[in-house]
Amino acid sequence: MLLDRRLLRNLDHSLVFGVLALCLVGSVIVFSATRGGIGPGSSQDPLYFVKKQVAAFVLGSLACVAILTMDYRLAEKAHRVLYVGNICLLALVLVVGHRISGAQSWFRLGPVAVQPSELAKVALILTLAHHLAEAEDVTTRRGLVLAFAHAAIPAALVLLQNDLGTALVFGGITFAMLYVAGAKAKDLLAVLAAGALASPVVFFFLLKDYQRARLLAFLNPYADPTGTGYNVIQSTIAIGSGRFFGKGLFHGTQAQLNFLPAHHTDFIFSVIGEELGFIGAVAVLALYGLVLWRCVRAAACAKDAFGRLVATGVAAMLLFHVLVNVGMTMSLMPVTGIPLPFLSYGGSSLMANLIAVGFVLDIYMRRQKILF
Amino acid sequence: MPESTVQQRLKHVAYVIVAVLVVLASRLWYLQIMRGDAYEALSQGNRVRVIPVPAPRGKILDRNGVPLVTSRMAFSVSIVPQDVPDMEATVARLAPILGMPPERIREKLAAPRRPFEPIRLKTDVDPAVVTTIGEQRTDLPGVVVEEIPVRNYVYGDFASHLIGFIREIDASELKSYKEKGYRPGDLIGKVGIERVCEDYLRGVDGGEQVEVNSLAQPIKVLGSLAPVPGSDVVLTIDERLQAAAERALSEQLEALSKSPKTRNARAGAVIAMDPRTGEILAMTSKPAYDPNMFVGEVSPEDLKFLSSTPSPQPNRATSYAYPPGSAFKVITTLAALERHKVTMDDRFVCTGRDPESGKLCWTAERGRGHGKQDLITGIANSCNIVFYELGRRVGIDDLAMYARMFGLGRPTGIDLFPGDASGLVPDRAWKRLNFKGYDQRWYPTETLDVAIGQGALLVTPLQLANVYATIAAGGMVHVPEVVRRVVSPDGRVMREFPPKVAGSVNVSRESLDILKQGLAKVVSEGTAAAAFTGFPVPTAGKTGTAQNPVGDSHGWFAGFAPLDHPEIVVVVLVEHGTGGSLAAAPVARKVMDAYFGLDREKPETPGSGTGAEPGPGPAGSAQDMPGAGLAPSGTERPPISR
Repeated sequence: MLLDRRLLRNLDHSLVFGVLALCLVGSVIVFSATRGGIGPGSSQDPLYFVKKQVAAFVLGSLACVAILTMDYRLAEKAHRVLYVGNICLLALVLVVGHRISGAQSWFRLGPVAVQPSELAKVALILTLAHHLAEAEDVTTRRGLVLAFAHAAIPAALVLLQNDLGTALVFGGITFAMLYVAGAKAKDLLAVLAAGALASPVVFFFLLKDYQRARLLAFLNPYADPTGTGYNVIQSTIAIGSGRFFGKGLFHGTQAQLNFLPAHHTDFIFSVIGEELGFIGAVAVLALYGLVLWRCVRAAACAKDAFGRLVATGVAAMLLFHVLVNVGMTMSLMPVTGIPLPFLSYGGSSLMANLIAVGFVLDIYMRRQKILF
Repeated sequence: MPESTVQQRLKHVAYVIVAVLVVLASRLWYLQIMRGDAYEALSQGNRVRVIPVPAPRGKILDRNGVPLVTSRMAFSVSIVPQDVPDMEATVARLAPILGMPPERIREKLAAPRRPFEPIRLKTDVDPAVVTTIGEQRTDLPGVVVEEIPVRNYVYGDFASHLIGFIREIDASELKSYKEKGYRPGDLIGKVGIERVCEDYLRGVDGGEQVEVNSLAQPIKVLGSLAPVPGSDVVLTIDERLQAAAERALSEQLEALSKSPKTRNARAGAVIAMDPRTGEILAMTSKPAYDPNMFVGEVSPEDLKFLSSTPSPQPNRATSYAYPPGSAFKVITTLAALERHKVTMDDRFVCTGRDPESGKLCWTAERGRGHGKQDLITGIANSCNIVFYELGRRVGIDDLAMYARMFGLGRPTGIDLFPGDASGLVPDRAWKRLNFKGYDQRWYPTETLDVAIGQGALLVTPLQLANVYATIAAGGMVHVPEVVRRVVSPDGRVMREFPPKVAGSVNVSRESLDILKQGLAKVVSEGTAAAAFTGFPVPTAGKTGTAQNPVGDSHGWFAGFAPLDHPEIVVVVLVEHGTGGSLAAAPVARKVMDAYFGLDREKPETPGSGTGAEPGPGPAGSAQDMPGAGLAPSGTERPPISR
């Protein structure tokens, strides 16, 4: 018996439901967005993208179940392997990686492209949780600096891939975990303030031209409505025109007629807004609310600091993705190109998220300190 | 860290989660509920385009229904600027395909348009160009190929001044035609019938509502509004007679310009008119242009031709006024008869020189005169001595009055664009108004000049045709007409144009009879006799040789036939033709031949034995006539309808 029946009784059914529901919605919307082919001239199998997405879901679910059979603390024991392996993979992708739309973030493995930065997020959560649980007091400056340094190395490698969005996710995860780990609020605020002060330097000297243009387009998308502002304008139109009940599944003109770019990946929420309306979009947000709440709850009941921090990190990662991605589709956030968890087409992302949820489920399932 | 603080901090994380979700949901509320209708309109605008479907322009037909101007389908290349992501690249790619300089394309793109309306870059492009654009479709987003009707001038430079042409509407026209629904890029009649009948010919454009994708490629048609084709305009022109006039004048000009004496004869005009109605049966002006050149872009060669001399642009039949020369003597004659300044018993002696003024007759260069003549012989000889005397007797005041009664000195009122010229009838008042000091005086010799159609007197060929039509019709003055009726595409007659009477000239029957007698003698044994040798129909006519200060004399002929019941007036002008008898009368003869069906080498007799040979009348065989098969039993051409 791999999995103890008594443990299964403690499985968080709400979290499982939330994630499954999101994955289901994701598959349906990916189908809607890709059934006519993406872009002109593509005449593929209408189920091509859905099939790949479902395959990733199955693989991710298997990984999830595998995690449940083990105690999550095994991951803590493997922290060194995880951290070094993570950095090696991120470094390797810079050397032999495959470039897709500006970011060198993919390994090509036969027909599939794997994005190590997606898994790197989960790896960071695990290693940082160990670091924070075992490390010196993060209320000291030294502890804080070490913690940031721990996150900074993989984040820097991701930045080198030109993946600003994912690097920012690393930052969000780190802040949330530090906060729950007990870092002083004013220290964290000071770091944020320093970041804000440094942002002009980053903006003018470190960002690539297209990243700068995207940020400017966020401030005023109509400055270049057919260029950098195009995505945001079309996405806003798609969502706004969905109105209360939406245009109906498969009937979103913006997405179906390809006005909306990347509508099966980064802009999938726009399709939801257009086709399922306010009702559907809010329902999706509610599902995220449920998943996030269960993650925070898992953190609150975790039997040790490591589990608590891992659950917190997963919650922070998912929240950050939702905020930046959904915000981007509604012109609340700049276009950074990070996917919407469980919904956006993309196997690496879906599998990484399912693995992350696997840990949260495991943490919750094994929450009792006294065993039987 | 105490457990309670940890729980506290997790609670804060939960608050942040709630805050984020609330912010996102609020934004959804704002976009979808508060601004939903505005965004819906935007998404509609994104995907729905209205593509105008131009209405086919009405045909222009001759009086028997022979199509002179039709519409044919042609490919046109347009661009929807809103759908072009990179205009520079698109223009650079498109320019060589269309064979247009990029600046020209940019010029067209600069014109103000409504959003998403295609801007037409080139009309009537080669099918090969369409294929090329189709192949590069994905590299040319926003470039559309439409099939639109364009003008087809069936016979090329045939009655082209009369028919005119259409071109893209210009800015000033746009201002005055805006309330009629014209938009930039629309075609509009610029000259001739195309212009004056614009409202009938134009029709109402339709539109097609199509759903497009993000590359502006049509996905499906949502709805369409069929265009209403323009109405057909039936002219008074007879295609066969017009063709004869075109040919006769062209051949004559070619022949004349080859001879050293008449090498400057390179332009002219012919008018044929029905004196009973004022209908123009043929009107040609040479040199002429082919209006087909205005479909699409005018080529550099065509532009060069249009600005060559003698200019092919003006309609010499209506727009230019010339001294009429001896052709004017009909008015001098009538004025003298009506004012009782001459009788049939009067005799005039021509020695080649007018004894009172010292002015010469045209025979003087041959060193002799016409001798003793009566009025009729004077007309037949076109003797200047006789008409100096008549002019002296009548005086300039009455001479000018009769000239004006016959419609000279003002436009005839023909509905054409550009309108016809006024010409000039000089008299004392004219001199007072237009000259200074001693020059204001009217000199007696000026009266003599007017009496023989010289001096400051100027008439257009159309005015002269109208004068002869008035004489032929017994004094009735018509407004010359070129349009018979307008017929809707479903065959309904929308408007008839009945003959328009402008007034009548108060001249007695006797005077007219005397004049006609003289004019008949001109043709039978006078100055036009050589040209009309063997012409079976009794004909009246007058030649004219109009001296002009800028070059060789102009040659005129004006006449009508049959003498007793005139059906046709023909006026021929040959610029710098040196003489009416030589240059103009032979052209008139050919036109008359065609009208009376005598232009066959040997008229075919119908084999069916239905009876009579076509007599001297408006009938003849016509095996090359379009629609000849419709004629009853045989090859006889239907007479020119009236």
